[in-house]
Amino acid sequence: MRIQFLWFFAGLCCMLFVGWVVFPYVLYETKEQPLQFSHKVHAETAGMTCENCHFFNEDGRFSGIPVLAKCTECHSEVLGASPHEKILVDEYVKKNREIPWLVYAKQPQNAYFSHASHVKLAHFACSECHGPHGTTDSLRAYQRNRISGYSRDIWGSSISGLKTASWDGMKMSDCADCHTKHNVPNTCLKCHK
Amino acid sequence: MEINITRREILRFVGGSALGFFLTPIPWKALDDSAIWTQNWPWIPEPGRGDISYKTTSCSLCPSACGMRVRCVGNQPVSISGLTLHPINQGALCPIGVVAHHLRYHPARVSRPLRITGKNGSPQHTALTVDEALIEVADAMKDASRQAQTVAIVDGRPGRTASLMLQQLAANIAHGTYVAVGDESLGVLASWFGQPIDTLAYDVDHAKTILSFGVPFFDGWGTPSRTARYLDGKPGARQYVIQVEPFRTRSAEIADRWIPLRPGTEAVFALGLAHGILQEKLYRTHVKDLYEFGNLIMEFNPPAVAEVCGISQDMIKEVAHVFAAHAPSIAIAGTAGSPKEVQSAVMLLNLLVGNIGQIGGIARKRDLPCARSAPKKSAAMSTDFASIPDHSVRVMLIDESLSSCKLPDALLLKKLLPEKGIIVSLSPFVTERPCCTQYVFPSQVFLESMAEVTNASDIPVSTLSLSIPLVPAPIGLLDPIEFVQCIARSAGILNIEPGTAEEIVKKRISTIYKEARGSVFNAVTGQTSELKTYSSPDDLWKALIAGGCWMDAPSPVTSLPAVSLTAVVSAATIKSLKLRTTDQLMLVPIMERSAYGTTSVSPIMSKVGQESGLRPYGCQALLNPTTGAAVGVIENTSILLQTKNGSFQTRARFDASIMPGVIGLSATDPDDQRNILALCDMNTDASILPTPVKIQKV
Repeated sequence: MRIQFLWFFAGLCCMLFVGWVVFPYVLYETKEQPLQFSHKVHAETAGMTCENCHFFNEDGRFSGIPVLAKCTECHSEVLGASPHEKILVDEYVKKNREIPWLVYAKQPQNAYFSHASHVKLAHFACSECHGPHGTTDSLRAYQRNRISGYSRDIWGSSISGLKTASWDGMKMSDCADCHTKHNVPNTCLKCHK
Repeated sequence: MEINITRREILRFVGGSALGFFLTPIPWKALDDSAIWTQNWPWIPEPGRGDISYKTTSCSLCPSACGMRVRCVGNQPVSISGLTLHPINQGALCPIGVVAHHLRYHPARVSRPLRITGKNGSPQHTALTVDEALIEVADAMKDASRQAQTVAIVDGRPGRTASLMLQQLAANIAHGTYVAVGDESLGVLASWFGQPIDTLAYDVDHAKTILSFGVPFFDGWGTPSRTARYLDGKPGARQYVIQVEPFRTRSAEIADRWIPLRPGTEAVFALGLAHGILQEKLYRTHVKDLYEFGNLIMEFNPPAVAEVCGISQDMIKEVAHVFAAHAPSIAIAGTAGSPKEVQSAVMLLNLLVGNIGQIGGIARKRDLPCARSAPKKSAAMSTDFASIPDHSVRVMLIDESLSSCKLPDALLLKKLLPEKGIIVSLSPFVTERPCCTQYVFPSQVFLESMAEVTNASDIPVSTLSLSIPLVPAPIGLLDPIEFVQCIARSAGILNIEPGTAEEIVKKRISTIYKEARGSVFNAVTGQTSELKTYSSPDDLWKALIAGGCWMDAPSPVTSLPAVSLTAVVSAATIKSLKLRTTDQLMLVPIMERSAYGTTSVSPIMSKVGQESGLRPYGCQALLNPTTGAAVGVIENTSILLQTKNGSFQTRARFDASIMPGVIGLSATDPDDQRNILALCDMNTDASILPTPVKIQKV
């Protein structure tokens, strides 16, 4: 009798292992960023603030990830000994080629998101959605969902979908939960214009 | 140690795995990701990236000309919203306007001229060059001239500069006639008074009572902000709306009062109201022959009308009293394809309460500058379809570049010469009409070309707005002015005004400037100011191409000359309205009533519209559950509908909003719609009548 159950539990455990451990590895492909970047060095050593690179334009639009021209303002020539800075200067600045950053928080075309209304009006800190990204010393690998094509950050770090922090997940349900929590309308046209 | 694995143990292992599978994220995550994948198929076009800009313009999809703010990314329009301060729409847009920028990608768009031949249901499309199509059409026009046959030029949007050129074209063609298509009921009234149709409009905003005969008053009729204003208003402070129609439609639901008539008895009910108004001496009119008219409609007394219409006598008396006493009031019957006697009977009510030319009634507008050409021949004067003899038109040119022609196919075919008659339409989309040869010349869609928008039927003053091109149009498309010039050139007509649409429209704007009347809304500043304050025609032009709107000064209140009631609604017409009841099951086609019926909509809009119930689903027969029980039909089963004109198989759906004894047959597919109309009896004016029907279970 026990042996009979053992086979059943063996099947169950195998599948649980495949589903919870192997599946995430298969589902997500890992890609390295084109070069490394240290927010920590820029903030602590260079004394820069977040707004130096991630600023709002005069018309209220958010600049997002800075364009190459912003990097070139300081890095027209190699300043230090970092091999990544050398890649930046040699491969991008001198060739005037935009850096193909892999954007962790990239949303699809059918979703409209305004940084201005969240930061300027709702007074959200960047870390509310992006976590401690602004203090990291290196860029973590980008994980792309092989089925949906989205970044893993959209689903969240846990394959179970359980959130561990406010920035863990950027799906529609996360947006809707936050809107509900802050008593902001959740109508379709709010985000899908 | 040897382990023997039995088949049963393998099955247990598989069973455990199967249970484990559902306790892992695999099925749920894969399902979620697959759903997202379908939203991001690689072949779905993505708007280009670029700077975000906002442009203001006016909507040209209907004559209301709502002010719009278009959000562009890299010069590509990606979304549209209403201009809050615009005097016409006050920030509101209809669902079609919100997605108007999708029309460029409509699957039915034509990019080359087409010759469409073939019988109903199996049309054959032949792509032609513009020159080839022009030669074939010009040959037909010349042939018509030689054989003294009519060339009818149908203008779907009278009042534009292009309309003026269509009139010029008609005036220069032997046996040419110009037909302006507008609100059909106002057309009836205009013909009684000998006025152009675009000089009359409903002054809905100043009316206290609205009597709507089947008009989708809250479902796409008129300017979109009106419904919102009505819903915001408090009963007593807003108009009192009475909706008269057999079905409990959205408009009937919202209206203050719904009068559920038996289908096909609208004209009888209207004459019953006229009888009530005369009896109570509530008329305020100076018609010539009130006494004679009273005698003519004597038999339309409350008991007789109540029996025919299926409502109470008190209801008739009450509606007649409210309509006449709670002035100013307007009766509206503007749906396309309603019988002419209904429109005449309803317009008669407006005559009786004396609201013609009055504030809150049927307004008389001043003519738009350059609205009409000096007629060189009487044949080119604006006329209506009724005055064109049946089977006399050899070539019918229809300008459908801004909105599809509301005239029923049956009416067009009735006027065309059998076999030889052709229809030539200028349209951005394929417009197939059965049983005749048709040429379609492709035109630009909204946001691709300059278009003038004038004269909504629910705005009591003349207006003019310009819709401007925000994106380049594909090569080879024609705007209406270019179309007239090309047709005229091919037919050997030389005295048509030359120049581009912009040059010709600019001349009209200069004339409006010289008239120095009315006011101009400036979309950039959000201010409305007197036209006199503009320093030059160029200033006015700049304001209009930036989404502005010129509104004429209200015309002084003047009545029109009295007309003879017995002349406009003859004894023969009244006798044709049968005062008899029927126990037969009646079939009533339910066609698209709102703006869906007159303009092409975004395919995405169709999806959203269907899901939210804005459009009827597929093809189905709607019947009241009591009717279903009486004829032994079960919901959602196939039934065969048989009339004397043919039979049609469809699915039965129970709907308590349909009155007992009536089957409402609806379809969204054009072929189904044609088959449904073929089942029904047709009036002499090609309108569709309620038709006795039998049901068979399939």
